Amino acid sequence: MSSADPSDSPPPISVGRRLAYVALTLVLFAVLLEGTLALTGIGDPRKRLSLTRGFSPTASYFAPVPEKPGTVTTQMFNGESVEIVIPPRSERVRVMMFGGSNTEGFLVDWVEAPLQQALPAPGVEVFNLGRHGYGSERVRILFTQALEYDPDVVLIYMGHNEFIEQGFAAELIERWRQPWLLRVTEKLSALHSMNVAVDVAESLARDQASLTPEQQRGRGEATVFRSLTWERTQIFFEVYEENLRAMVSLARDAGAQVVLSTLVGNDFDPPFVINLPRELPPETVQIIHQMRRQAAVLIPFRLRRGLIQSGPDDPSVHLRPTDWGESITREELAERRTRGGLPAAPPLRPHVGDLAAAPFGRPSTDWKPVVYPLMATMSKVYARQPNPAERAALEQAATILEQVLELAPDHPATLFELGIVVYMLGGDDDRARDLLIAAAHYDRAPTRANDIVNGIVRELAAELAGEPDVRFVDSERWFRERCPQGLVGYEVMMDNCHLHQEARKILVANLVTPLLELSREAAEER
Amino acid sequence: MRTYLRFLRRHPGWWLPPVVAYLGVLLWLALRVAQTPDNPFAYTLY
Repeated sequence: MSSADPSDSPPPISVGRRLAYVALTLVLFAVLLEGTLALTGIGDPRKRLSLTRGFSPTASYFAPVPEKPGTVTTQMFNGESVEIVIPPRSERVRVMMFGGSNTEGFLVDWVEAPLQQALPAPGVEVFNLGRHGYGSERVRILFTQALEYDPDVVLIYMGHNEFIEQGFAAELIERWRQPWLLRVTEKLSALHSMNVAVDVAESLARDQASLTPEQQRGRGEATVFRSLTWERTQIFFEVYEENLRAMVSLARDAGAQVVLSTLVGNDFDPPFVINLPRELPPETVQIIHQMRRQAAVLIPFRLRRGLIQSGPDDPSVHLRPTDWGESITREELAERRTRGGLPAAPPLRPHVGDLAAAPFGRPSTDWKPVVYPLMATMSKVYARQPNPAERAALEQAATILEQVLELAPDHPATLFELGIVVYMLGGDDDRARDLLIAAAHYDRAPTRANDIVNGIVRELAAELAGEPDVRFVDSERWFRERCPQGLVGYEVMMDNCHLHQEARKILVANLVTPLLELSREAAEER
Repeated sequence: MRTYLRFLRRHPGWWLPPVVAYLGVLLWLALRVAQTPDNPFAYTLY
């Protein structure tokens, strides 16, 4: 049996030193891993928009196209739309458009063709950087990065998605449970190793990530907006104003000229979030619910189906563009057209002048079944011909709704319902319009630009009136002035905020005039 | 340096768990990212 010589065995390593070595090993491992991935180009963070769905100034909205030096491509559509490729700057006047889904629906050719015709030399190039679902927070980040590609003129048509976007941001935080966790992830997103981990995780979770439309509809909505009060919604508008002002300021500082526009929304789309004021006592809330239900059932069903809800069995309908046959695949459209038996579209209100071609909707053969009953209701609402018994019931409903407003003057659903009733009764269109505008004004989370958003745009435009590098188009007023009773409805709108394609084309044609003026000035300066 | 290498060789029980934990945290966060929806809940409305 041999015993080891104590002088051969190394001295033990102290705990403190061991801990230092652990930290060193961890750092070395992270650095080695990161270095190896960086050298091999795997997990390049610049090739991903961001890990927090674009809500970060560090998000990479643009990525270089390796085979074309100087060319960049957007990376923000996640395969849902074609990414926009921006070549190196040339002599051509460069126009960029920003906003949400409406802007995304401005066909480049609608703008580029007339500008190109007016300015064949040096020519014009138009880039549509509108992205569905984007509100001012992400548009501002995208906008700031896009200015690096030196636009001469920028068009901003933005403001429908403020609550959609902020609701999403709140949902993200809610899903992540802790905001700091989201921030840590955002910081780590600069690492190749984090991006590789996400690539791996995405391939593992691919099946779980694709939610059905029904799951999409039910997700988060209730929790995100359940407690929202009208006072709190003001913060969203303040953020919008801050973002819009910052964008205009950034553009002007960068030498880009700006076209601003108000936004067109559907006055006949019911408010989205209708919470009663929190301070109301429970018994008052109960009385309000009873009275509203009483008023709703007084309104003849044919005049409220899909528009005014009396209970869970007859919900009000919020349409979407795909219901009309927009933004669907050719196959789906062809399949819809093979169905038979759907009657022609019910008549809506005749328009005159520039909107004489309204209604602009696709033929009813393209519609989903959900559209027809609502349009049948709207047809009768717009006709404003209740029989004597219906008129008496509507008058009674109006009286009850007036009483509800005495208890809760800013309740958006009641304002909307009374607006519709007053409209149907006729005789006081100004009141009907005021009520419908107020309904959108007091919506706790409007899904379309209301008078507050448009007021912010108008105020900013008024401040900048006379500045040579800013133009303003009051699109909302333009449409309102050309719609019967000054109310924008389903003749020009598909849903809450989307114009029918032909109406959108008219809106864009109006925007082309200031875009051309500014493009001409930019061409002369070059 | 020699002491550090000896530590690596003789005490993997000290340094291996933090390295695995680091990778685990990255993967855990990455899974959360992967399970986060790409679009707002009201995607169908805007």
